[in-house]
Amino acid sequence: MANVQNKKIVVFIAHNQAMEESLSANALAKEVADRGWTVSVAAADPEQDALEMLLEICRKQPPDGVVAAGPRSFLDRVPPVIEIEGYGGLRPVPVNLVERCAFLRRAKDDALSSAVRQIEVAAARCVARQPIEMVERSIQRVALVVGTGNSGALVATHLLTAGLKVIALAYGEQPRTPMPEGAEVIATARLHALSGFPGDFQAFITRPDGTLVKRVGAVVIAQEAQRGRPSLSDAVLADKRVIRLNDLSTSTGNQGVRSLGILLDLGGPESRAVSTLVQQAALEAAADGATVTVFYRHMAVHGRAGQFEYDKLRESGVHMIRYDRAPVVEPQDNGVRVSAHDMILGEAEINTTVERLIVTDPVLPSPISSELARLLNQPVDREGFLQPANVRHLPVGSPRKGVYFAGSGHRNLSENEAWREAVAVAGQVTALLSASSMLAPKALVQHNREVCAMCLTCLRSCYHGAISLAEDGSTIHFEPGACWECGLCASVCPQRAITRLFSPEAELRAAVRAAGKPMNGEAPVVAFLCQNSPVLALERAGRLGLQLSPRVVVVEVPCAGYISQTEVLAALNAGAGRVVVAACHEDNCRSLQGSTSARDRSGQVRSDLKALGLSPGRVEFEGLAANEPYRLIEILSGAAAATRTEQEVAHG
Amino acid sequence: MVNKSIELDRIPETPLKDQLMRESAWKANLDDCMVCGKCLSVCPLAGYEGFDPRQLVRLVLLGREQEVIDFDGIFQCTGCDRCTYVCPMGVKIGNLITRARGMRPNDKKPGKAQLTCELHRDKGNNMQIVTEEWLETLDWMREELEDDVPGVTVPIDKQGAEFFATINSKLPQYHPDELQDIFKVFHAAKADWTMPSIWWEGTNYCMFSGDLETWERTLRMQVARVEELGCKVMAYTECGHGYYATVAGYEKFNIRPKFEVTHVVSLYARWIREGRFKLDPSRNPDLCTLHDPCNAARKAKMNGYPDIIDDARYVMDAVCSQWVESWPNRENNICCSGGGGALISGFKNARMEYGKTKVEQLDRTGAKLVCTPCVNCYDGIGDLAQHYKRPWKPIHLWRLLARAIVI
Repeated sequence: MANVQNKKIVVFIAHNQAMEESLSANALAKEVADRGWTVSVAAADPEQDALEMLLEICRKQPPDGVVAAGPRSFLDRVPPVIEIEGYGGLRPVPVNLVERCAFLRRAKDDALSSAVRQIEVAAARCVARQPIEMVERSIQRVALVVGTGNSGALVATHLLTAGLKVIALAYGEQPRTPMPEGAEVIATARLHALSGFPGDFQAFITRPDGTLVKRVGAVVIAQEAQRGRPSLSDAVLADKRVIRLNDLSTSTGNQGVRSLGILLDLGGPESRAVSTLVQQAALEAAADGATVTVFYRHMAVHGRAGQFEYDKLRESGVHMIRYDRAPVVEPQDNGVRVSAHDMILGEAEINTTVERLIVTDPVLPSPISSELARLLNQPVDREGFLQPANVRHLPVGSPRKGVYFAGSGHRNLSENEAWREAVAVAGQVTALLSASSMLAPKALVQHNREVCAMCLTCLRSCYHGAISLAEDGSTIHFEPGACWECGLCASVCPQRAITRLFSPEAELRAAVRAAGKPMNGEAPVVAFLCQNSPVLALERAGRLGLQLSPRVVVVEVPCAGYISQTEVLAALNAGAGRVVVAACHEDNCRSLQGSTSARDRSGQVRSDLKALGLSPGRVEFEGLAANEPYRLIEILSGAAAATRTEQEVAHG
Repeated sequence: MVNKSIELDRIPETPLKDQLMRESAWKANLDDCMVCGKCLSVCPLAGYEGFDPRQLVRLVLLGREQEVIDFDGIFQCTGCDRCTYVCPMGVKIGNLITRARGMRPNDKKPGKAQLTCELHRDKGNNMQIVTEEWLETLDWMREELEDDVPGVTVPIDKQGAEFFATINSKLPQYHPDELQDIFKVFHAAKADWTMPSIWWEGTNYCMFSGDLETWERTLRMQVARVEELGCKVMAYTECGHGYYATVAGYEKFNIRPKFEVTHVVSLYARWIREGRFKLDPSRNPDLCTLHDPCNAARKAKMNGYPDIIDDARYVMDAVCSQWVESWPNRENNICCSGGGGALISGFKNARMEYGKTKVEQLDRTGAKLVCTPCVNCYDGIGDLAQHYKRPWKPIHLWRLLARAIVI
């Protein structure tokens, strides 16, 4: 059993005092050896010695896979890739076959059998895994900056200082602000398409006189927001007593005004800069003895200083009225009359007549936001800004590697924040393009053209820009450099024409078979956990000392999108009592569609089970953040308890 | 509740708003309200006949306080102050309710809250119990107890005693047998204590009717009595609002007594720590849970007065063979639904309706007994158990303790 498919797998168990309290490393080694695996045991106090020993074993007789098991303090030091001189060629080639195995906290009586099961699952993965071939690819030390506003100029300046070349794309005839010396400015140009991978993109740029292709290493979308118009009639806006405020305003000049009204959120939120300006105006007027009323729909408090300003507003006796539908504004002889409905008091109309009314221009996304979103295959938020609130990519990243956002046009930013983000983007681009070449995987998926129906489902599912149509339209091109390894393309392919090399199905099947196998006659719970959130929640649960039922066997997946009906059914088929699929919360899926895909697919299995007269409750889907360890343990324990009850009922 | 229009330019100066904005003891920070709704999410009355604490705040701020004062919801409020506890902006809705009640003319206040506080002022206790009757009850109960606890004494008006005990007047009136538990505890602890013949009342409904004048007057009368006897500590027996009305009242009315006020649960804990009792927890075999009274737990704690949250748990550990926490608990506990004077304001249907959350909370514990170190909570929970025919019933902590004490 040890040399399945003639592969040599080393199981390395490091142990320390804390681990010994619930689990004896020697007893574990014996159990694992009895199952035919090669085992080494080392004391992990101090961890450095155990690590040296592991590396030594790898150097002497390079294995085809390593299961490194032991306390987390040790595992944190095991490199994800162990490089061994001379193995497989002249250059150092990584053994990318390390599977780390942290023992989850279980009750003492269950610790041994659970640990054996975990090692078996890890070893099964190692056996089925293939080494990935690496190639050297060149890096273009050139950055393309799309947009020539303040942020674009700032990013360009930083990149030039770092020794990179900069091409700046101006949509108009002139750059909006002067670009720094040394930047190549292409005016009256549009970005038309982007292919390639981070480090070496081809940017297709259209100009009135034809198309231009530029090879660039990174792309910075640096768009500025535009100012909108408050949703009030022309007649109202033309009234001299109605003052419009926007980012360009510096002073509101309310000296001597006895009553001041401020009306916010008309036609969209004001910019953060304007929000600060408005607070200052209100404070000045109140200090001057004016009665001030602020009508608002959303609380626009930015940062700690914003809260401070806001507190001061209330202390100075400013009326704060939160309205629930757009207030009516009527200029009259004695002033401007504003009628609103208080959000809490509902039907009661609140009226005031003011000498002067300040309204704010809403801030809108850049006019080419939607065009850029389309060509980059990127989502936009509710207001049309280029960056939805997805924690995997905020503040300046995008789902496409090597494509960054800067400037007030990608989300509502204050001037200060826009400046800081531009600096951050420049830093990230500089780091990405620091070398002239890099070692990259040759391929991460295998595409079977024989069975491919060219339905392009994969292309539509990929927000990472890793899948494109070949130039002649005859086939699909998969770009490993741009791939995040979520596996969504393979699991959505109706023809099963895509094979994942980074984490092949065979490996997952082997792990699922090992995990789903009943242990001492007990059906386990197989939990597929996405590595981006639920696995982190599990690690946190371990640090908090939360215990996991011995019935639960964890199978990690790179993204929940990896899971299709096949994997869920395979686990049930292997003998699992229940299957739990835990993904990130929908809006925080790194690959955008992975979580929803897993939800829909496990839902499909549930309805299939129901149609067959089986309990749909055997398959559960949960969305979960990394900071929900208690909830994760609750879900897994609940599934384990339900499985136990079902089995007891079944056995009478 | 509201549909008239409001002219911001002509918001009248109104007395309630003025008090809540200016008087330092009653500052409610109304203008800090951001209408976020956290108060609503924890309010037992939330949604009951459209009740929303934020409406009250908005109305007072916008010069429409008369509608708040005339609104019966302010008397249905259980004064649990969870709203104030969770408010991120420090808005003290509890202060608004108390003062709004005070603005309602006495003859227009629903139920018996105002009558009760006037009796307290005029007779020294809520139940019009005259001194002879009081002393007879004490002596009768002491005699009955003597069979179990030989030599038990109840010192009356003992000059210079360490502890001055207060008693909720519902005990002599309705549950005189519970007095025996208190006697047994003080006796077994070998405490130097006394039971006053007058001003022994251990409640204060004036806080609930919003009658500040009577509240202050009753407190001062009692303080004078304690000081006359020269006691060092006022041992406030299990009554959450009485305890809170006393400690908070002293601060609000700037009363500086020459003695300390201690909740009796803290004394139990102290005496158990000192090893004064021989305890046998197996005498309390039924599964018990603990109800934290709003006044002695959350309100005391958040206003900086000694609370009984940890002490009550310490005593429970020592006197019960098994007990479980309810959830939520401690300063987050849900009101018994009889707090804030609701018990005597005559809105029983409302109480039973919004008490459902409490019933569900207690059901989840699976307990048979609900320990309520507060006479008000005892009745609130007792009413819920009876109305919803639940298997649990309330019990005072003194009873659990007295049962566990081996003489």
